[in-house]
Amino acid sequence: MKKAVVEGIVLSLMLGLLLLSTPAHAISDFYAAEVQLSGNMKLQWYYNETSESYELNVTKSFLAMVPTDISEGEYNASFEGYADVEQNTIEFYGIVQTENGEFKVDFEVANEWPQIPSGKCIATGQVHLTIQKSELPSIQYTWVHVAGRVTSYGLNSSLGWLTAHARLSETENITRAHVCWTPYFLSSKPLQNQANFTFTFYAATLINTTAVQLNYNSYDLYITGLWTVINVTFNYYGEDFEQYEEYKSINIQNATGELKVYSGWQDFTVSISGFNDVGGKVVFSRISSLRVSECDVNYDGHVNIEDLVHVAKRIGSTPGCVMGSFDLSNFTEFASVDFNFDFKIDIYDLVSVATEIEA
Amino acid sequence: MSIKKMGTCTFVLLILISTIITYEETLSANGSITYVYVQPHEQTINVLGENFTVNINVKYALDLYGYEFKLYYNSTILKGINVTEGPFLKQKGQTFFYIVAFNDNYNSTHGILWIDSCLIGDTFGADGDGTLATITFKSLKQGYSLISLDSVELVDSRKNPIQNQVIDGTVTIIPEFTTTFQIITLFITAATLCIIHLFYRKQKKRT
Repeated sequence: MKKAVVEGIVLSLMLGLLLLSTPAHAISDFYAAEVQLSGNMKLQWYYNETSESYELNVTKSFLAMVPTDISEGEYNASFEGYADVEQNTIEFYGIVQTENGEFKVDFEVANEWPQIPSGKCIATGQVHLTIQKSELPSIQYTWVHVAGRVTSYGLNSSLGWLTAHARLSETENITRAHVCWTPYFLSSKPLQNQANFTFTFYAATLINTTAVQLNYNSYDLYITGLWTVINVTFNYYGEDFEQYEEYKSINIQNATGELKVYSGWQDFTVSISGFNDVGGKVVFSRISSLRVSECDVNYDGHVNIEDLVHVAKRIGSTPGCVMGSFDLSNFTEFASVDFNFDFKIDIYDLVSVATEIEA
Repeated sequence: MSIKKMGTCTFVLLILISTIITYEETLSANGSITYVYVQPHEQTINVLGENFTVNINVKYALDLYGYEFKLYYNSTILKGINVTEGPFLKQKGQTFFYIVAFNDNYNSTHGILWIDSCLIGDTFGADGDGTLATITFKSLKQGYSLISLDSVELVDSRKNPIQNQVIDGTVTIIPEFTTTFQIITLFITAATLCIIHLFYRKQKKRT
């Protein structure tokens, strides 16, 4: 009996110690708040062993996500971060540290100091904060992610890819859509003894969305707006085609066009004025009330180290050449990791994933 | 030493001094640009088969979240041995360090090191100066190699490019003579001098 009591006490003590050692900030939640900030900010540029600095008095109200550890009220805080100085505005972004914790802020003030050099610099300051819970209306978002493989251009067979992301709500719709296609059918691999392999494709980007709708008429997804289309040519050469030259030229700007997904999210068509219809098969589609990230490249619902490694392994890839394998039929694999649509996988695509990984 | 030889030596010295001054001035000229440079800028290795290191450093970085670079070296005189991540990004949190390529066979004369690295998560980048990566090479034979940086991309926490300027480095392999080699050379020189001396003495006796 005594032994059981002693064991119980020891276990309770161990559990207590474990709970005490867990950092409080690891379990903190956030609330939306209106933050009023006022105080002196010091902007510093470094030149070799010397530095140049400017002190500004800043007052600004903005919205921020504040940890629940920091309740509503007034605080003295320190700011550490950066200032991006432009001709008319100065944007501050960084972290404010109060006695109860810290949180990220991002706000912009009018540039009333013409003597300050433009560019990005270190910003620090001692500020006074007034934090008040914000009565933000709860907005219901719907996230849509579609990826597809182009199979036809007009009556011709074609190779290419489609990626589309949309965030839909009652108040605003945010859409990104890209489609690339070859104007005629190409052999997916170069012929034997071919010295170089050149191909051209069209690359269209939705630049201004007019309407986005789910279940519109007979379409599962319907997006209409203005598109810019460019011609892209890749010329691969050298042993194993490991070297390439790339040429881009604008074909048309602000052309009206629409993306339609139909047949139960099986098929899609992109119709842009001045071009034949681009048709294809949907290879992935997802609709969710939770955020769908395009950086979730293995489609497991999370952005994590696996997605980062997936992109890292494809660094150096270009359309037609993924991980050293030269094959135009792997267009869709390439497109799934080219987040900035610049036709090469590099540090920008890697950073796109890395910034989305939750600590 | 003749006047001609002295002049040549002075000229070489002046070139060396001006190179060092230009390098220092380049690094201190403009604070608004971030520099990525090879350190040491010039290095001389005196022993064949010896491992030595080269750092890839950054100076005046601001919110550096990720970077990419390619580095080319003369693989006929250097062999790439190892590469390790430097401490600069790590000071801000967890990092991802990926070696895309590291081999001595980029082509018949050059090797390549290609690295992509970044922080992980919603955090700000690193500021200031520091080491991004450390590379270990092995000296293979006498010669000279440029340690040449290419395709350097720096990215901030908002995925914006950071303007940068690159400064390459050099490695010279000049093996020192071994003790055995020095003794043999000394012996041959002494023997030659003796022969010459004996030859002249014989000639003198004849006359």
